[in-house]
Amino acid sequence: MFKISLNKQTLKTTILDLKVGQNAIIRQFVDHEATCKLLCMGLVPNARVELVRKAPFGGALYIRMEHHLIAMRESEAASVEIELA
Amino acid sequence: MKTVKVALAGNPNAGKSSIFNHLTGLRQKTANFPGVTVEKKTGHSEIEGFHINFTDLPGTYSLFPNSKDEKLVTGILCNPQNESFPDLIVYVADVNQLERHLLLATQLIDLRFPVIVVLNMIDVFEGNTNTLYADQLEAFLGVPVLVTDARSGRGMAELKQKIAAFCRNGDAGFVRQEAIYTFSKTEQSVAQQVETLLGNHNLYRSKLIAHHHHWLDFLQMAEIIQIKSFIGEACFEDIRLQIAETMTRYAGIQSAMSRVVEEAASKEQQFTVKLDAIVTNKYFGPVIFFSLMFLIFQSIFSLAEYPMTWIEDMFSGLGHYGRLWLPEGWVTDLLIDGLLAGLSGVLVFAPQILILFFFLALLEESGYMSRVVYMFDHVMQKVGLNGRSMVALISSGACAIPAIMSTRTIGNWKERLITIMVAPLIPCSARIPVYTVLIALMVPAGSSYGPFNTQGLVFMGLYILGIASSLVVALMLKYFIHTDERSYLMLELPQYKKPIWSNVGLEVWDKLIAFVSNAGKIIIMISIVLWFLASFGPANAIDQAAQTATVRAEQAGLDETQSQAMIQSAKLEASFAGHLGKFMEPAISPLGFDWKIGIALVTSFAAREVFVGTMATIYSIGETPKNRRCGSAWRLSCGRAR
Repeated sequence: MFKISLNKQTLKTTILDLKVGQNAIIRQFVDHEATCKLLCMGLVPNARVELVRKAPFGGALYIRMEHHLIAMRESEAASVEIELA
Repeated sequence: MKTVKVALAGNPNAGKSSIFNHLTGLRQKTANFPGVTVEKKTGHSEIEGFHINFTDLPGTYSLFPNSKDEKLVTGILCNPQNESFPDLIVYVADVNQLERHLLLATQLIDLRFPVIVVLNMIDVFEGNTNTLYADQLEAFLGVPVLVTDARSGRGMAELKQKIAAFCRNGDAGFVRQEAIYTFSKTEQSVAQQVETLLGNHNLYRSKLIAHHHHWLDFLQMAEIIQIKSFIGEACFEDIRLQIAETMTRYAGIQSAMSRVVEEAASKEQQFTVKLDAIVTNKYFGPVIFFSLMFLIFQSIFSLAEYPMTWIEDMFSGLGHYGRLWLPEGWVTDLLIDGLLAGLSGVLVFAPQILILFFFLALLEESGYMSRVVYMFDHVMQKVGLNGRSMVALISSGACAIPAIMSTRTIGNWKERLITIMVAPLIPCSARIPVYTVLIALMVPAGSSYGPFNTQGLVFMGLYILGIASSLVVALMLKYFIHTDERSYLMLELPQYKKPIWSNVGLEVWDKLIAFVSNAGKIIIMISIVLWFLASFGPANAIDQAAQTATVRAEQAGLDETQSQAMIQSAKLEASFAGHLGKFMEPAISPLGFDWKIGIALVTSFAAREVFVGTMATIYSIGETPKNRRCGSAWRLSCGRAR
C-alpha cells in the first residue's frame, strides 16, 4: 500500500522539478496536445534528459538529450513526467 | 522527355539545403508556394540525360504538423493533384540523430512514395568513432540508403547515380511493399471509408486526410462533412491516435537502431554545451547578443559606405556622359532622369542588404539564432510574441519583406500575425537615409547636448523609438487578437558548426536578387512615374514658374546655387506633382504636414527611401556630404541644375 502511493509520488515529478545539472528518465506525458509536439522532437518515454540551464530572462529551459539539445518552455516541461536517475 | 519531380524532405537542421545546393548549384530560384508566404526553393539539373526538377521542401518533423511550414508539406504530400507532388523523395537525415530523423522517413515510406534515404553528416559520425550498418537500415526501411557529407561533397555522385537509376527503372526497389505502421481497427475502418470516398488507393494517405481534414485545402465541403461523420461514427480520436502512431513508429525504429548504429560518445555535443555555458549564460548571453547586434549594424554602416559611394558615382557619371552623347529631348530625359535614376536608387541599397544578410546567414548557419530564440522567448511572450519572432525582428533591420517571410516558423497564428504586423515598424536600412534627411532638416548641425552631437543623439533616438514602437504595438495587439491555438517554444538547439560558405553565399545571393528584382521593379516604375509628374505640369505652368523664380532670385541677389534651388523648387510646385500635393493638403494639414510633405508621402508608398529624394528636392537642401546620398537618386531625376 505504502509502495504504491510512493510510486504515484515519484511519477508526478516533471522536468520542471529538475535542478540544474540533474538527470532523469522520461516516463510519460500529462498533456495530450503537447505530447505530439514533444514526441516529434524526440522526447520519447525511456529517453534520458538533463536540465542544463535556465534562460537568462526565465521562462525557458535548456535540455540535453542523448543525441540533441532542446529548448522548451516551463509549461511544456511541466507536461513531461520523469523519474529521477 | 518527361521531367522527373524530385522533392527533398527531412527534419530541420538535417543539411537538406546543402544537399539541394549540391544537386542544383546556381540553377535554383526562390518563389512562394502558391497562396502562402512559405519560401519555395526549386532548381533543375541534368543527370545522365534526364531532366530533373528539384524542390526543397521546408524542414518537417512529422506529418502531424505544428507550424505553417509543416502543414504545407503535409498538404502537398497528401494531394497527388498538387503541382509540387513529387515522383521521388530524397529524404535527408542527420545520421548523428538518426532515431528522431527516421520518424518522418517511415511516414513518407508508408505514403508509398519512392524514397532514397540519405544519411548526411557522416564525417562527424565517423569522427566520433561510431559504426553504421547501412544494410541493416535498408532492410528495416525497404528503400535504398546512402551516406553523404554535404560539407565535403562526399556521396553526391552516388546520390546522382541513384536518382538516375530511378529515372531509368521506375519505382521498383524504391517503394516499400508493405506498410511499416500497422493500423488499429478504428484507423483501418476510417481510412478505408476515406479511401473509398476519395478513390485515392493509399490507406496511410487516407488516414492522414482523416486526421487533417479540417485544414487541408484541397478537400471539397461535401467530402469534409462525410469524413467528419466517418470519424464520429468510429470514435476516431485524433490526438490520441496521433500519439499512438508516433509511439509505435518510435518503438520500431528503436528496436532497429540497435542493429544499425554502434556508438561512442559525441565530442561535438560536449563542445556545444561548453560554448553554450557562455553564449547562453544568464549575464553574458544577453550582453553577447546585444554586442553582436551592435557590431553587425555598425559594420553595415561603415562597410557599406564605400560601395554605396562607388555605385552613386558610377550612375551620376553614366548620366553625365549619357547627356553628352544623346540628343536632347524627352526620351533622353526619361532614360537618364527616370530610368537611370530609379536604377541607381535601387542598387545603392544593395551593399547594405548584402552585408546584413551575410551576417544573418552566418548566425543562422552556425546555429546561434536558435540560442537567441531560446534566450528571449520569455520576454517576447510578455508582448504577445514568440521567441521565434526575434529572427524576424532582427531581419527587419535589413528589410521587412524577408522578415515577414521568416515568420512561417511561428506555429501559433496570433503570434505570427502580430510579428508580421510589427516587423515593419523596426527601422530598416532603407529608413536610414530618411532619418538622415529629416535630422538634417530639423536639427541644427554642430549643436551638441553635453558631450554628444545632437544630430547623432536624435538619430539613435529615432532608432530606439522604432524598436520600442514595435514592442508597444505588439503589446496592444496582444489584447485585440484572440486565438484558441496553443503556443509552443519546443525548439531544437542544433550543434554549433562551421558555416558552409557556399550555403552562406547562395543564401545572400538569393536574397539580393530577390531585393533587386522584386523591390527594384516597383521602385523603378515609381521613379519613372515621378519623373513624369515632376517634369510636366498643366500647359506651360512650369516655364512660367521658372521665369518668375529667376526674376525673383535676381532681385534678391542670390548666388548661382541658391537661385537654382529656388527655381527648382518653383518648378516642382507648378508641376503635376505639386498640384497633387496641394490637392491633398487639407487632408494632411491636421497632422501639421504641408503640400511638400504630401508629395513625399505619396511617393513613399512605393518605397520608404523615395521619401528622401522627394524631400531633398522640395526643400532644396544643398549638396552637403551628410545628405548627399539621400538626394542623389532623386536629384538626378529632378534637377540637372545644382
